Amino acid sequence: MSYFADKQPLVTDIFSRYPASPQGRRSALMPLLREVQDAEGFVSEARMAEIAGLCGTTATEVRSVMSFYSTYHTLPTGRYHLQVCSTLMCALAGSDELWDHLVSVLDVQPGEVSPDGRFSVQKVECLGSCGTAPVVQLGDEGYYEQVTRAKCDRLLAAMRTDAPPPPDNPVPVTVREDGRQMLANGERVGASIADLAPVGSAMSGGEA
Amino acid sequence: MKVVVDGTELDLPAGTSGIDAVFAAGRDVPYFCAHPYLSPVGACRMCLVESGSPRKEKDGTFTLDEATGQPKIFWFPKPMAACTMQATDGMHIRTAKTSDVVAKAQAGMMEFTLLNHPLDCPTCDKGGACELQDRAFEYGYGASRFGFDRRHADKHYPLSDFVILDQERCIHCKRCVRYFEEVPGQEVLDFIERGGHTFIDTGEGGLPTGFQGNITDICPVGALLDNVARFRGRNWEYDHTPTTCTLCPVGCSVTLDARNGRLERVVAGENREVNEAWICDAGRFGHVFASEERLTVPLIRVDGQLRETDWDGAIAAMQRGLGGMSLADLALYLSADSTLEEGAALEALAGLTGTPSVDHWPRYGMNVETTATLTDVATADAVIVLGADLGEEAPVLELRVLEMLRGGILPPEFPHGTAIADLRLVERPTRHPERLAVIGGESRLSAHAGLRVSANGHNALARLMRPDTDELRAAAGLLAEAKKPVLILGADVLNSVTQDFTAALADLVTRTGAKVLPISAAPNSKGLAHLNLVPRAGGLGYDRLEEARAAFISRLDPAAHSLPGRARGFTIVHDTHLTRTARLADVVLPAVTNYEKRGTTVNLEGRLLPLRQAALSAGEGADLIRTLTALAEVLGVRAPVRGLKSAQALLQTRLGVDVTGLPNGGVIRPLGQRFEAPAGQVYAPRLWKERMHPDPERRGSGVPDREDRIATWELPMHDPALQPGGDD
Amino acid sequence: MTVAEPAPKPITSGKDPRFAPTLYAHVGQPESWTLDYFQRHGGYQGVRRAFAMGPDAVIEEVKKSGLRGRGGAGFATGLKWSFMPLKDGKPHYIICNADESEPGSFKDRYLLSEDPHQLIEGMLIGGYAMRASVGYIYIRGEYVHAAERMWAAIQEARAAGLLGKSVLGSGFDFDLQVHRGAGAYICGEETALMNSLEGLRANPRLKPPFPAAAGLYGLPTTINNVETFCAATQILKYGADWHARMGTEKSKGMKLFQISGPVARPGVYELPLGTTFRELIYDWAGGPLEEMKAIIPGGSSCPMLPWDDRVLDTPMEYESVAAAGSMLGTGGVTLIPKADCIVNATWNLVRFYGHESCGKCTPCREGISSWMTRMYEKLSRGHGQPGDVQLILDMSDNIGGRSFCALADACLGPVLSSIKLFREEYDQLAHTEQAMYPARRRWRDS
Ligand SMILES: Cc1cc2nc3c(=O)[nH]c(=O)nc-3n(C[C@H](O)[C@H](O)[C@H](O)COP(=O)(O)O)c2cc1C
Ligand code: SF4
Ligand code: FES
Repeated sequence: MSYFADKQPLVTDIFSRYPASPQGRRSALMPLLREVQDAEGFVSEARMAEIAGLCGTTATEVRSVMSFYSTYHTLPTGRYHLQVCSTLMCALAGSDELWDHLVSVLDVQPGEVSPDGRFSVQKVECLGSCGTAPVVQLGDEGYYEQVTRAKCDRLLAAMRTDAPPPPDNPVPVTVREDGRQMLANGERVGASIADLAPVGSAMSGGEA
Repeated sequence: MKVVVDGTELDLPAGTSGIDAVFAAGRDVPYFCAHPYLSPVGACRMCLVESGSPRKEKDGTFTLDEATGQPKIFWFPKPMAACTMQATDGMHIRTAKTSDVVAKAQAGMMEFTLLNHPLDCPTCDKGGACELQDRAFEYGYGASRFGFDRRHADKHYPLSDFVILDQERCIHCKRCVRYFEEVPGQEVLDFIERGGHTFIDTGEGGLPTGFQGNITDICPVGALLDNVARFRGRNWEYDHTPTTCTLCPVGCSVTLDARNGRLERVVAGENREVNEAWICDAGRFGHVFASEERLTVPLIRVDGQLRETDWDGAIAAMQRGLGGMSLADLALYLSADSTLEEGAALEALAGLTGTPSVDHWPRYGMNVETTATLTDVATADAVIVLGADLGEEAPVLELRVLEMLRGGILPPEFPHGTAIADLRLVERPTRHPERLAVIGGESRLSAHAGLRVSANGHNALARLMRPDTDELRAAAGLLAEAKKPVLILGADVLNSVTQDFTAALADLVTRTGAKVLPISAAPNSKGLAHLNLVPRAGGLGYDRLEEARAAFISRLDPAAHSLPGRARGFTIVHDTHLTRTARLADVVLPAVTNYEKRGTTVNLEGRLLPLRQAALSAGEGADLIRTLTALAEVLGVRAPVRGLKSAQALLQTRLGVDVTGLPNGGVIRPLGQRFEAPAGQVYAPRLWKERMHPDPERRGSGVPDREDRIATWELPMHDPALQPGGDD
Repeated sequence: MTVAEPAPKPITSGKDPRFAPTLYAHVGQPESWTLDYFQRHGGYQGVRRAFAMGPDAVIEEVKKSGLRGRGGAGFATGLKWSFMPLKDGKPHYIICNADESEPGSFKDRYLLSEDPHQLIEGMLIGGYAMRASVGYIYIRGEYVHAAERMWAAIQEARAAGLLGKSVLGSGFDFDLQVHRGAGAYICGEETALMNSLEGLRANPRLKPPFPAAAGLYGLPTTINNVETFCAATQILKYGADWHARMGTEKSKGMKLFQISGPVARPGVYELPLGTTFRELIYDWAGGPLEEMKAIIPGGSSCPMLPWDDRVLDTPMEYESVAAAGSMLGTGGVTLIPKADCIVNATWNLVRFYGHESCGKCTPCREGISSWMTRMYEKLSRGHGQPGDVQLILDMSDNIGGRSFCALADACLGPVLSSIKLFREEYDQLAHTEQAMYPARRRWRDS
């Protein structure tokens, strides 16, 4: 059964992002892989061949490209695929212990899926959230940040009832409502964007 | 452009790469990923050199070194990969010979390259001809400090019937991957995973047959090996014979590797003007017939059965069989892959016996003038392929057409050979499918053509001249607008050439300036056409074999094509194998294959190419010249040509060319008058003949596979008569 | 003009009363990612000014502002833009490098998700200046939320005539596309990124040809970091002079500094270039939570610096950090506590680079990915032998400057600097098989 056969608008939309040339067609490879993986959790060989056909290339190339990137899977993952950042900044915040905890509590090893089909785990490299370490990424959904032991257990419990909370998105609020930044001691310093005048506006030159 | 390598000043053409500058200076750098006919990628990092350039001041003069008054050389702070660095005017380069930094960098890189490379040189087919082995010896530390287990991976991973991969040995030079992408234009092999886990694999369920074998030549290590030759011998045990492949009219340069009288391996040779460095899979893997089931002694029919005999017995049998027949009754037919020398011998004998029934096969009824070379094809700006399936007729010509689609960049030549790194070649080059029109049936090449028109051979040209569809109009337009167009004509057209066709073609050529490359029917049919080897007045062509009162048939097997396999009367077959036709004969004479001949062949361009003799055991097999000498004896005449020398002398007078001492690359020479006659039958080219297939089942042979045979061997372990030693 | 006024002192501290954050001014505000919010806060004024100036003047303006690329290398942005063959009439591309994978960097993520229109405006400005008609935003695969926000913002902008045919009636056609990565640090390298965008393995490409001559799909292309484009938005809006007033002689403007590791307030701070590490760490981030021994000043590739007064007082600008022996990189500052084993910490980073090596070239694939990683594993696990450190140094010598791209060199940043600064820790491990600072619990319970 073909995956994209009944999704012509989607395929057309993806191709429309790139030039209408053979090279441009090839560019759709990653977005198409992503579509399949998001829908099916992994990309099977049949899907690779299908994508190869769409992009005007071969199954070899699709597999080659796919295997290059670390977030595509060729095997099914659990419903909750937990990816633990293990790079230094998270490690300094205890991600190694977090990992050990996950693996022992869930009793899954990388590459396995827990018997109930819920969980799989993977160690990944820096997720770009070093300020809120340690970080766990849930599938292709988003991050759970500042995952303490208590939070970790809460998350797992929620997932066990298939009600995981939405991913976190704490924003480093360094600038206050008045547009000024706040020092660690609470003091507001500097000016605000409101004090700046765009060039050419009436205020220009008004400020030193 | 002046470049200074290790203190030696050279004058080099602009665009020369650093690595070629070094080699031009007679110096050396190790390299693995660079390859003359592939894009430079700078992946292996072995070719590190130090380099520096003068700088110009604002006023355009060189910044001078205060101490010497010479332009000051600003050295790059780190060593550069010479293969991807363009040498520029005034550049200085230091190799390991003069720079400790380079020597250390190369030794260190060698250590990395060898890190995960297994130490199985003693059992590796590449041993003794391995770039890594040689370079490690020349440039390595001689020891490794890597104290860990090497990477383990599949060591016997067949990529196809023909190519076996040892994933542990791969050094990730990417030559094989680039080859497939850049040369035959097939994305069928690539790296999987990344970093230290990278390995190569195909996702296509096996490499496509066509040109896959070339990767076994270019792999610098023993990762990709010729499975047909696997474990058959060590490189230093082989006799290497450079010669010309005569399986199709391209005439690629090949080297035959033989051991103990068996042809074990064929590897590509380089001929810049013909096959560059590539050959097709038939040429490489289709050689097993030369050493399997050979006919090694003459056979004569006794009581209806073929019985082994010797040449004297065969001569006597022929004398009996031909007794009472007029000399002119014996029809003489030869295969059109015979050498010019053999053809000349046959022509001379026919002259002597006066037989009008002479023919060679395969051939076409009319010859079409050849005006294009293979280099013309590669550098054309438009190619029209008319009625040809290049994959069957002339596979490497297909590669030259694909080269044209990539821009037709021929790497420059230096005294040290073809440029090792041509910086104009790039990875994933822009291709120009719009420059190629394929008119005729579907073929592998069609997939690369911007214009595809189906038409049958008869009227393809006529329709091209008076286009009646948009596609044909486009093809005609392509031809009209191109500056250097080439028209390739294949069997589907050439089988039905008429006077009208020739006239129309001449007209087209005048109008468009196109060069024409008709693909010869057989490896040497173009050469043999210059000898009078076609039926003469009242003679019987090969198509009328069954009408002949008696016939001598050299290396032709009509019975295999469901045609009558013998003459009305006495039939002599000269062949390398007991073919179907041979089984019908009265006398069968053992022949030698073209791998065992010296002589000359003429490829589709009209290029005279030398054949050299590999040391294969052929028993009492004889080439056509010697066989005809015996036949002359039977007929009671003195053979006019009695050996290679006299054949070549005859060629000198007949064709006005000296074929002795031809260079490996061959030469194009006009050969004068051509002889033609209606062919009487249609020739359908087919590259792979049954006998060529390495897999005995596919070959239709009863010979069990080597593995099966080994299983039945009884090893004479305790035989007291067994002598130590043996053939090695 | 009468008497020349004394040139005002440049702004080199976030505490300077004249310094106003702009890049992150709206990050964290409710609905800051919507077009409506953006326009209410003076959005798309920079690009209007750009259209009024003409493309060449935009490049001049960016040159004058002194903006340097914020992706790590600090190459002058205006100059880079001017490398494009501006008058060739061919299609050009611009790409925003939002691959942000350098450990310690996490500034772009919030720019993408919280202020996507700022980036769209910056790319409009860049596209206009460089005569590009299509821009791609290459967002690392893991930034799902950011990609979604970016995508939504692009739709909004298209609907409002800010992208598409004749943007704002200027006659300039421009459109943006988002391309998501899939987990490969090397995609941050500009030529690898282009390969990835073309649906290929993300191996870096040979240079020359440089992207400005033949980049994406073989056409002239320029790649800039997210922050660089956003800075261009602000420069066009507030003027090159405004931008050049902040920072130091050669490092002008503001920068998003990120701080991670055990500090009171890890996060992103927008400060002018030239702010000292001390100010960032103590005044903004609230100071370290424990005793420190090293600072990674600008993302994991930048050599570590010792925790001392000289380093703390170094202004965070390209030249001074280089003079101190490291690089400013992406401005991602990480603190390494005294009580952590430096070999173990370095192993972590080496493993990262080994995992991310693309495998194209030998020194990186074999040297970093296969050998260096295992040497560190051996040392860290207490199996080290005397001579191992020397071997690592010699290997580094054979790797450094020999690889195809900068990834292998990036790995040597932490390796060489940690050996230089903390040789005794290495030696202790190699000789006694005991770490000077044993592993300790770090994971917080709540
Ligand atoms: C291995 C490697 C990784 C890189 N990763 C990033 C990255 O994640 N984000 C980024 O903006 N630049 C990255 N760069 C730098 C880019 O190659 C490039 O210099 C930058 O995007 C140019 O933008 P700029 O001029 O705006 O700084 C990386 C470079 C290398 C060699
Ligand atoms: S298999 Fe051989 S040719 Fe291919 S990448 Fe490996 S070493 Fe190179
Ligand atoms: S880097 Fe491989 S030959 Fe130059």
